[in-house]
Amino acid sequence: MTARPSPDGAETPEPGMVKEGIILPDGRYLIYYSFPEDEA
Amino acid sequence: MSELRWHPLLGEWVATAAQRQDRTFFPPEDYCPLCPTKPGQVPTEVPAETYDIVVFENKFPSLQRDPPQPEVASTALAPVAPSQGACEVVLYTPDHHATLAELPVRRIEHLVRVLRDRTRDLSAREDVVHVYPFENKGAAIGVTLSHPHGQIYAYPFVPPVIAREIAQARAHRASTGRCLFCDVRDAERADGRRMLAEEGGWVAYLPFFARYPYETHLAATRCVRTLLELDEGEVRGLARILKRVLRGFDALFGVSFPYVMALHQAPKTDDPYHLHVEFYPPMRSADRLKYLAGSEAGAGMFINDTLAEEKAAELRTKIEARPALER
Repeated sequence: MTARPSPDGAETPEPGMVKEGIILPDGRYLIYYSFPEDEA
Repeated sequence: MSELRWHPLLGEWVATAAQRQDRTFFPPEDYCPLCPTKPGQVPTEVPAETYDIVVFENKFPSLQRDPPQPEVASTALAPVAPSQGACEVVLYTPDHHATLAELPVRRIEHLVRVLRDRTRDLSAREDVVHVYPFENKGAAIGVTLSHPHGQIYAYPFVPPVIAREIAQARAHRASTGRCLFCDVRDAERADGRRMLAEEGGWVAYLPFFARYPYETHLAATRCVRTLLELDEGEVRGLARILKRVLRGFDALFGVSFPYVMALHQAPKTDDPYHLHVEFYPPMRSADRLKYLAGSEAGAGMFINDTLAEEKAAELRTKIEARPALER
């Protein structure tokens, strides 16, 4: 499992989920969720 | 201008969000703001060439993390508050033309996990009391972007519909000692006439008290309060029953069926509650819509021109005629 803090600060313990947050130019957060086990 | 204004006659908050008047309205496909950004094309909301599932803060929010101070003054009669909270957009797939009904079960499972993750993250915020995932689908509902997506609102209070359900559940528990939602679900199973499907810890039915012709409820078999309490089997079961019901909807009239999908879960209180999903489809026949008119909008009493037993039989036939889902 890969889990990164979301831009709003909470942790992510979902199994099999990769979570990557970015901040958009106008200050809003955006989170990419992916599931690499499905691609294996 | 964005603030919460108190409705003293109904005892509830109204969000004023005047900036939403200028939000994107049915752009051409090449300018869809929810598609991935392609090289050489106009940048979209998502600065990547593809994605699995994406969540971002709504550009035109009714509720926000750092809201401005209200521009109007509170009065004793009508208090005003900052529009504290969150409005998120959930992109199900990069495929502009897909619908939730058409997605593979596995992707719907992942979507449930994402909604669970958002529930966890947003609930951790001190300003959030209730997390509400939903989807508006179809122009008949008022959707302004056709790319498949849902939304999540995080409220700084318990919203009125959830508060009413809690009041009913509390009264039922006080008089019977039981969960109201479990009793409704079990009554539907015992009666059977309005049942639609059962799948992996979930039950689908048109409730006895349906307000819309095809109003459909999905209830967890186990008495769980939020998405956070679902085990992996129940996550899979929710994905499967969602897909089965949505395919049945689409088969009713041979059109991509419009609906509001409301995921109701417990707020951050100790009140009795039970996780469930409600669908409010506006279609009452192939060419007629159900409008919320005088009695519904003005008095709060719904008039359903159909019998739930007949509509359930119709929808059940469509669900059962569809090919079995992959395991």
